[in-house]
Amino acid sequence: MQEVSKAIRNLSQAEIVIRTLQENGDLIRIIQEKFLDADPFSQENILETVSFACKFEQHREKFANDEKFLEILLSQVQSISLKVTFFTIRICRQLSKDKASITKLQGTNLRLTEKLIIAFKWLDQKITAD
Amino acid sequence: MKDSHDQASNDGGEEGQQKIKGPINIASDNGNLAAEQKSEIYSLVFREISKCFQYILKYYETHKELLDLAQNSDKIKNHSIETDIIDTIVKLGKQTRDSKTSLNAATCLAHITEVLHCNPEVASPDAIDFMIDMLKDAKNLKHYRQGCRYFANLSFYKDFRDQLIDKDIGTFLLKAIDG
Repeated sequence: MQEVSKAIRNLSQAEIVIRTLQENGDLIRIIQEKFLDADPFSQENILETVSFACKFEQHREKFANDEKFLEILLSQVQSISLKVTFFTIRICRQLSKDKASITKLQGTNLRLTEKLIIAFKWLDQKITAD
Repeated sequence: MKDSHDQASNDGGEEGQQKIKGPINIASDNGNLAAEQKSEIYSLVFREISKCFQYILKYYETHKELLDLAQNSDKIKNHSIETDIIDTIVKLGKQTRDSKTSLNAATCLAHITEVLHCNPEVASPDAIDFMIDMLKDAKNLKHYRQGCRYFANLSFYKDFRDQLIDKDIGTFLLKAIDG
């Protein structure tokens, strides 16, 4: 999984690869079906691939319209891996560029805001502990 | 395609993205990350958080609608989420050494002051101190501009005006004009 996800991440720097992954819904399917059981290294690679895709508005829209994707994404804010946390928040920031996507990310209980506040407090404590 | 590209913003997030773009060779395990690398990632995460808040507050009407909806729900009754947001933004701005994070934080606070009868927490002593630092940063035009915007908006209200006078803000403003 690590090597495969790494290869996909590297290839996805080419826009055509992102387009293919998105047209077939493969990226969202990987997140929905494989992500949570994957090791932190693979999770980082998968999220970095998603982040590459999020550079494009049409792909951001697709991610933001998938509630299960958003739930899984937001569940990774306090990850065991610092880089998973970083890519999670980076994707949230990329999705937040679009007004419609922010609304989806926030849901009915301002879950994005809540996660950001929690993430800051948590990381601040970790820095103090380090 | 160019239009929809997530262009680097002039004041935040994308710069952090550039830094670790492409394959990352350092070990991913937190335990194996060198202290310096860890510190850099912390800094980048904080920059992303500050930029996220900036986007949230940029679309203030949407934020307000969702806020009202959430405040009226049983889950978070009697709890001011906006106060928590402002508190987090001020802490982010005050503790960072990253100029983009401080600019994002300053922009967030200035965004809030644009709203009529804004949350009074935005004029807390810590928030004012942080924005005075922005105002002093005349060499950094973007920071300075957010400081000016913040104080111009706050000075519209009598209550805030008194707080600003207590902080001797007039001196800083005059220095800013002279500078």
